[in-house]
Amino acid sequence: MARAEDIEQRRLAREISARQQAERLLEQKSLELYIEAQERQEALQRLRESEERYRLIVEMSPDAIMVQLNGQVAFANSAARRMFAESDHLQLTGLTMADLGLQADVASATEEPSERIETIARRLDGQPFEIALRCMPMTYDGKSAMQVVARDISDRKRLEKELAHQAAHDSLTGVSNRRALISSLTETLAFARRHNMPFWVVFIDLDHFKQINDRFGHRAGDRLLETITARLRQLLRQDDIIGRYGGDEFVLLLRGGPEARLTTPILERIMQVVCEPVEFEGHRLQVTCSLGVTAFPDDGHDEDTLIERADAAMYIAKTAGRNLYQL
Amino acid sequence: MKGIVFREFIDMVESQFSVETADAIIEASELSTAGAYTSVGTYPHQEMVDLVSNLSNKAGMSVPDLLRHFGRHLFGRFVEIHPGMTSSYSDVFALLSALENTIHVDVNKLYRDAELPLFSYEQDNQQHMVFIYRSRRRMADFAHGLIEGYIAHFKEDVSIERVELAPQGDEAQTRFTLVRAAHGTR
Repeated sequence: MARAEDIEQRRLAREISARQQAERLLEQKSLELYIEAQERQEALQRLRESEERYRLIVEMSPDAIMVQLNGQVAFANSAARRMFAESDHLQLTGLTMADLGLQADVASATEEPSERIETIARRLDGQPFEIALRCMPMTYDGKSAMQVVARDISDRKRLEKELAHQAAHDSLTGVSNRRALISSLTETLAFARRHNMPFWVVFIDLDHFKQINDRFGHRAGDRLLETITARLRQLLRQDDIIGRYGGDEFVLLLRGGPEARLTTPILERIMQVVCEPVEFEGHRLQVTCSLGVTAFPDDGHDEDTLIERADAAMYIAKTAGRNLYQL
Repeated sequence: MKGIVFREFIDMVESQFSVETADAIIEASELSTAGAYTSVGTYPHQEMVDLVSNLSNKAGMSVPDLLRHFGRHLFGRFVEIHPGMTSSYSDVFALLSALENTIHVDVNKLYRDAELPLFSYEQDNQQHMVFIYRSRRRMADFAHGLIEGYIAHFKEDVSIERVELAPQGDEAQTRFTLVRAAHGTR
């Protein structure tokens, strides 16, 4: 039988040992907590850095990025703020898509990312401009929202219009070039056939135009062509078409109603405006012209025939002495 | 096994048997820390097996009876130490059904290295609950005692029917069927 003192001694020793263990555990736990806290801090820092990177990517995107939540703009990146001309007193966030002129386009976007839509939007100053946009449903702040990615395409659209204009017009006189003229002739033919309406092709060739270039230089020739074209345009009705066919050759498409007839006074007026003198650096420039005219449907039923026969008629007028028209 | 269980065990032996008995079984067992346990420490499970088996020899009680007794005692102590643990449950069934997914989750937060047994339960109605204990520790007797502790705590008239099932791998499986007496609770 153990003595009571021995037992008490051992109990005490166990208590001291337990306390020492507890202290060691406490120290170890403190260290673990400290390391954990540090790791948490580092993880938080990494998260912040990662968030900052993403924020920068979104903020520096050349495309406008907006988030529509509960019908209002909840987020707009700097490209969006620039694009819609946000000012100090008028902010993009809080506005509706209707305020930006985009209600129908954004509302039509369904579950899937939408097709690219080209549409007209409105800046905060009320100015309309052309944009291309794409909508994508997303979750924002735990709620279902719509991401709208847009790009200002006004410049591109303007350039496209300019290019289309350049491709169809003569750069000197601004009237249709040969290609556009033929295409207008095709349209005119189709319309005339469908509605059983006549029209006329007038082939104009300036007489002795080369001499103007030779005597006064090409700038003088250009001035003469510009002036004559401008006068002819004034003479024509809205439905009529004028095109530059070659160097000093022009073609007019004179269109009219079902009962229209080509009268000689119009041809004479054409010749008259062509031969009116043009002042150029103290010189008086003046040319006459020869005209060949064909009529649809009497002289031909297709573009080539109508043009070729008008050209041939013009040659007859030339050989007959110039400053004439030939029907 | 967590140090708190060892401490409670030794305290129980000291108070319900004697200080000498506690000292004797500690001396007779091979213990990593010579019987010095701190609540938050973790110690080999085998040490508890040794302590209980030495107590069994010394006190002339069977190991299963001792474990059941200790389970009942320990639950009472838990209620004293962690009153919040039981206060949110209204009866034995509510506590048992919360054990795996709520209470053990909290225990794990407190003691990350705690190795807890797995419990699963099926409750058909308010009168009947089947509760399966699975553990490599084979401490079904201890679990039995704990459940008896719950019943005593809630002062319910619930009977326990216990069936040992075929082990799954190295895990013992025991099915406890709890039936609440027809005349109701409390």
